[in-house]
Amino acid sequence: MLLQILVSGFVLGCVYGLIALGYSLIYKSSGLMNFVQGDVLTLGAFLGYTFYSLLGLPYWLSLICTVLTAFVFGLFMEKFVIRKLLRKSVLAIYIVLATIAIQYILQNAIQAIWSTKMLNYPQIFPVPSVSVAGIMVQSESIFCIVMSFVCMAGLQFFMKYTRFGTAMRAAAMDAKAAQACGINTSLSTGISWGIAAGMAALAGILLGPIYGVFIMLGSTIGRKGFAGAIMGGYGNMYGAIVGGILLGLVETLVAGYLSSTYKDMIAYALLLLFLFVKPTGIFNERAITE
Amino acid sequence: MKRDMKRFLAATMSLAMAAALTACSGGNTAETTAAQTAAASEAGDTAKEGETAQEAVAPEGGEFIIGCPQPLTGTNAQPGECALNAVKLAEKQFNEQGGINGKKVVVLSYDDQGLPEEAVKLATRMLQVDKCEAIIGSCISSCVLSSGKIYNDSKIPTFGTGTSPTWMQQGWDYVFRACQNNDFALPLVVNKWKELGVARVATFAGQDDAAVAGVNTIAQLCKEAGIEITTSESYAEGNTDFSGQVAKIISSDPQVVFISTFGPTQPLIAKQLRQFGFNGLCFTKDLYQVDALQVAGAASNGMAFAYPYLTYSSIDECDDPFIKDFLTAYEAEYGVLPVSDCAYRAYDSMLVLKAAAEAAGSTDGEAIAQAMNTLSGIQTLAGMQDFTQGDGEGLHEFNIFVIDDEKYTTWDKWDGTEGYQAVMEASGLN
Repeated sequence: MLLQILVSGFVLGCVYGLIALGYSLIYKSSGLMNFVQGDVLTLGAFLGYTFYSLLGLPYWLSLICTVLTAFVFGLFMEKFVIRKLLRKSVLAIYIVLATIAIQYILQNAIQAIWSTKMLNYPQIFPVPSVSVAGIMVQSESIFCIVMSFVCMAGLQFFMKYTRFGTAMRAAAMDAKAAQACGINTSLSTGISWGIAAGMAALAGILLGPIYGVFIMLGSTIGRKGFAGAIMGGYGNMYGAIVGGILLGLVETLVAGYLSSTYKDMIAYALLLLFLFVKPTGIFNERAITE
Repeated sequence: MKRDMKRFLAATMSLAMAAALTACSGGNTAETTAAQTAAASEAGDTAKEGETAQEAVAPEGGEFIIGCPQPLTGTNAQPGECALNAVKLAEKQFNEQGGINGKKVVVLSYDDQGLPEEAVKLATRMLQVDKCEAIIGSCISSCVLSSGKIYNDSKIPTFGTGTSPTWMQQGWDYVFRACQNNDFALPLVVNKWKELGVARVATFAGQDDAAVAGVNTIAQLCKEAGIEITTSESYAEGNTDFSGQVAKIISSDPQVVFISTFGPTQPLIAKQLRQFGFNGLCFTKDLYQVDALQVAGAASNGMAFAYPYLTYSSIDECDDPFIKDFLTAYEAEYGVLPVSDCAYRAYDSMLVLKAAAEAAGSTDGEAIAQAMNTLSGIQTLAGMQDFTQGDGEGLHEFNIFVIDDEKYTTWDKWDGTEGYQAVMEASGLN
């Protein structure tokens, strides 16, 4: 039982980690918080279903189309809502509130476009499940784990070792100074929101075959991803994945050995504990002060 | 200072608008479908509400206004949308036949979001502002439980479309049910277990009223039957991963798993139970929906339930002529078949309401309520309904269905087949 729970918790944690990566990226590159991630995951699942099942595109092409569409959505969200609010020099809390508003608009828009029906996302791989240490794991779950680590490593590399990533971090630390150095802060922030949306959509298209596609798919996962990002160290890419995995493991272990009724309570109590005892998270990521 | 004042005013205005829009989020309009409700802009909703309120405050004397609160957004939007569609279909059909007692039927829809507190707010609005004369809904039992007293005290005939026993145990004279009461169907399930020689059952339940009531009833019936509950697991609404619960269920070594859930959770728990290695018999508290069957595929095999009817992926699969007619009309109206049986529940409620109003010769609430207790032999999708027992319930007989080879079948037809043998063997019931 323990091994089964650990494997499941790890898979679940990687999903949280993918979402957490988006939260961390946006924070790292713009110092802002975005609560639309969970619903972009849902959008990604529906887009993936449309490209793959309805339009009959190959899976890899559906995946690319889904991520690109979500990227454009994220970019537009930044350009037409967040950027406009930033130009009005509003407090950061108003940006957070704006993302909560977008969250509800997106939820209802998805319902209006695709209806409330739960949709069946066909299996991607010919082999439905594989044995890991004697435990049967769905093939799509393995793919999800692989993609989480690829995204984590890719983003960390992008943010640390590429010129554009450095520009994004500079824009987050001091937008005016960055602009003075010739960095297009609007573009860098927009791209970070686009990438975050793309990653959430990627999580959606990966989760579709595991959970099915329905309108509230990402709502809880989005919240859990946020908690995972904080535990790992808000703004740290490694932390996002590690925090997500920690949360996934805690949840499944609590449900398996303590109480399934109170597993969420215990998971969020852990988040509070982190905020009190180690607010910089596992990876000791310092918060952006302004 | 001036700028601060402007900001303060802007923030205050925004808050006021948000509060106003939230209060208006019931989004009632006779013309609005669930999908439109979801998509409607806030501003649009406000305008439509104005129109509806005007109609409702001053009906022309020839209208019978029926309020239909259902969850049209959120986790349970799918059953809510199906229920509303069915009620609107009945409205159209009744009006084509001359209405109810010569009055035009007007259905006003409301989004209770599946939240009990929202249901209470809407109840007040439906009665005091829109002057609804009868209520069909909600399919979420917690919402019926929270708002039922308001309708009852106002003497408004109300047909709850949830399946929990709790709200019918309140002794309300104006609240009725034309769909399944799980407490009536679950004894059939436990009797089947006794017949099979089941000794150990694990339960998995949501935390809403119907789910909790279902699992409590099973626990009580199992106790009386001498069946051991090996573990009782639960989950919070919106969760998608139940691996901890499933691992615990399997390690408790049950022969049967009783699943007390609703909507999108059904295929998730089915898939996870099968993936973790439990291939034995499972019973769900009510219908295992057709879309759950499509999503979970082979993992659905061996899922059984006691219920009056089934949902279908095509009309040809249905062999009940009355349900077939309904499905044909529903598909013609909406282009799809209902995936949730909440459509059946709501449609049947409309049929019974019409029969009661016609028996009473009036649309007056007291007259309808009195007539209800004399009604019997009412043909509905669930079969003949009989309210003469005086308990407000119309349905007392159910069938046990099971999924075999990714198709619905009856238990009797399934018994002895290859699929049956495999599931029984996995449950250790051979």
